[in-house]
Amino acid sequence: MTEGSAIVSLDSVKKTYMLGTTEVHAVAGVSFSLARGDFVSIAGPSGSGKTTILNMIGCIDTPSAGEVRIDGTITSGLSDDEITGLRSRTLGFIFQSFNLIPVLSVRENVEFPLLLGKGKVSKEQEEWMDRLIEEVGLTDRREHRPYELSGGQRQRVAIARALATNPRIILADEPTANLDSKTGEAIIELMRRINREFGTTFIFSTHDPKIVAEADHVIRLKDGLVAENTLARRANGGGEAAK
Amino acid sequence: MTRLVLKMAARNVLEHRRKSVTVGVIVAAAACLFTLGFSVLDTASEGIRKEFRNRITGDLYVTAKTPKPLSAFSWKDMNSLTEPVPRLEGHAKIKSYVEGLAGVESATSRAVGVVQVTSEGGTGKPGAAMLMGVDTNDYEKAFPDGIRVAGGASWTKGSGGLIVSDMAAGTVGREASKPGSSLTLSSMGMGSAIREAEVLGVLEPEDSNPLLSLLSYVDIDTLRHLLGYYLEDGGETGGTPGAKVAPAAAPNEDDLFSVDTVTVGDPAGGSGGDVAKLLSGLADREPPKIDTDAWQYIVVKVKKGASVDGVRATIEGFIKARGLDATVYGWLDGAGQIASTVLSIKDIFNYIAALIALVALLIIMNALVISVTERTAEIGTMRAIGGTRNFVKELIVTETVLLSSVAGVAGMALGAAGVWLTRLIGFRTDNFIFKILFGGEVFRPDLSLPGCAITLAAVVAIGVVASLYPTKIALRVSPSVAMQRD
Ligand SMILES: Nc1ncnc2c1ncn2[C@@H]1O[C@H](COP(=O)(O)OP(=O)(O)O)[C@@H](O)[C@H]1O
Ligand SMILES: [Mg+2]
Repeated sequence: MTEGSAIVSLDSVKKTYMLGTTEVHAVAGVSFSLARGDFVSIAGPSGSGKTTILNMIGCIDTPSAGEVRIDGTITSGLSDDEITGLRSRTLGFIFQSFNLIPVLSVRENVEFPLLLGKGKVSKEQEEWMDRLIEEVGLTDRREHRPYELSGGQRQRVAIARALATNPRIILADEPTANLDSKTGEAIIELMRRINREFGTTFIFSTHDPKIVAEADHVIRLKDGLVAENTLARRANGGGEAAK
Repeated sequence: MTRLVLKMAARNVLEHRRKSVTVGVIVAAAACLFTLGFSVLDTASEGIRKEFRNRITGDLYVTAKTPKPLSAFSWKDMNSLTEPVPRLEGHAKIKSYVEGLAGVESATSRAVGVVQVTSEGGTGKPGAAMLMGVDTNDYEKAFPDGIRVAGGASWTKGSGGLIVSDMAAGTVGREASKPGSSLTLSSMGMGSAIREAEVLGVLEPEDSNPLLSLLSYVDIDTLRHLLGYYLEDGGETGGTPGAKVAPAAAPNEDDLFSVDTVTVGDPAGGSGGDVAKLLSGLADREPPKIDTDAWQYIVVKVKKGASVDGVRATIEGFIKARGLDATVYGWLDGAGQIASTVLSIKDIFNYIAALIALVALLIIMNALVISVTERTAEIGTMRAIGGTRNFVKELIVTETVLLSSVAGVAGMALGAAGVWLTRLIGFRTDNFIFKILFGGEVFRPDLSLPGCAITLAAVVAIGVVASLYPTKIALRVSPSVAMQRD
């Protein structure tokens, strides 16, 4: 895998927080590249820097040092509106706590990112939404509000919402942490299926080894540093270390 | 503002019930109070303006320029009531100019003087009256509601005679002042003149307008005699400045009015005979000629739709250009203390309303800050998945304005219902202050449309202003809060 084909690449990225007078090196110098269409797991114990890294890839946070490239674009130095634009065109988000908009129905939640961009939804987008809702198995719940859904159902709505703008990358920060293991596995399976069907790059963080095992590419963090960078090819059962 | 924003704002209003109820109740209560308050006060002040305008002050009045301001029938300072009001020099010129103005409905000349009223052989005490001298030919055309006769009649075309106030009639004696009887009028203040006048009618009591209760009316010539408005050389008419002759009832007033016979406040004590003698004595003499251009006031009514301020400025311009010694006043100057009191109550209410608005603003702002803080994750999520700052701002402002205008309109409707109900039932009062304020015993407020407009504007403004700070807080919410939930 060359730099050119990478959809996301981090180069010596550091993130330092000030906690009072002490510096917290949440990310202490991390470099890796992720290939288009990969199903990537950022693994590691709590506090290892997973969320911080996802935030920087998602342009929600800026690195203290180093560069983050999304699809070749260096994200630091973009204006707030450019970043918002990048987020809504290229990136989709799935959150640990689902974070659906409570006053909107399932369909409206999925529609929300589309309306943010244009204010109106085209015929094709309507069909795309219907397909997504079907894909996540919620066609019979499309008019329900989030409070009427179970945790697993809510996360499925979030997945459909993240896919609505047909982004190339979906970032998911511990998407299964608030779900029981069976539901969590089903969610990962769904993400996997979509990854295969639509070729969407998924980057998800987790500390659940069972879920890590699902990934093509595992980046394991420890104390803000990369402890392991493995390309796993489940098809041929083996694995190789990424460059 | 997109449909999405409107939809979300509306649902947020419905679903964040605690916040909506807090904000809604406050806004509705304020709007209700404003609507009621503006309606009551506008009705009262408009009622008072109409009462004064139609009955006595007109829209404007022109007088001589004086160091102390004049009301429409005396000095504004009530302590100076007995001081004579100066003549308006150049009356004829000003009047013909004013009458020719397009916006003028009527221009009416008047003069006034404080006189003592006594009855020959009457049993009552001498009364004081503020005597308004008018042209009996046309006064009631310009002020059809100015003179309300309770008993007797008003003037017939061109006749002279006295229409006595209820107050003076009460003092002099009802019997002595009943229509057809004759009362003696003597001027007060410097010098004295005396005149008999036939009572044509007695005015209604003016419970709700104490100022009007002071006024009696008489034909202008009788008043001119009492004020000593004679021509110097007995020949010309026209307002030559020299025409203001010193009190001129008699060549030798000291002899005629020995102090103990006719004085202010003197009990009815036997003046009658002396007066009769005096009058018969005067009849022998060549009577001095009255100055028929001697007036003190020109009272102007402006046509409906014409600008009072415009007419006023035009008249003032004329006075200035001609170098005349005259001043123009507005109705409020003429109406005395009561009207100004009502208007200052209005001011006070405006201040209170502003204060209420401010308090409401702070409470609403606080409720919104809490609500925004509770929704940080939601706001962060919207930002993370592509919502611009502008979208967040629009959402919060729309939400608040929607809530405050719906609650505001509801409050206004409630206030309007209150006005309507009060109108239907009529607010009855025995309290004399309220009687004055409300122009009678029963008050029926009209819904104040400008008041409603102000209320609506205030409610929307409160919504916008109250959401500024919470919006600022919301815009500070980083998209990362959506992530950090572990
Ligand atoms: N906003 C912040 N301020 C200070 N320290 C932070 C902040 N965010 C994260 N950290 C710290 O950075 C480290 C990495 O955090 P995080 O990326 O959330 O780890 P993980 O998601 O793997 O649990 C932790 O020690 C955490 O306490
Ligand atoms: Mg984390």
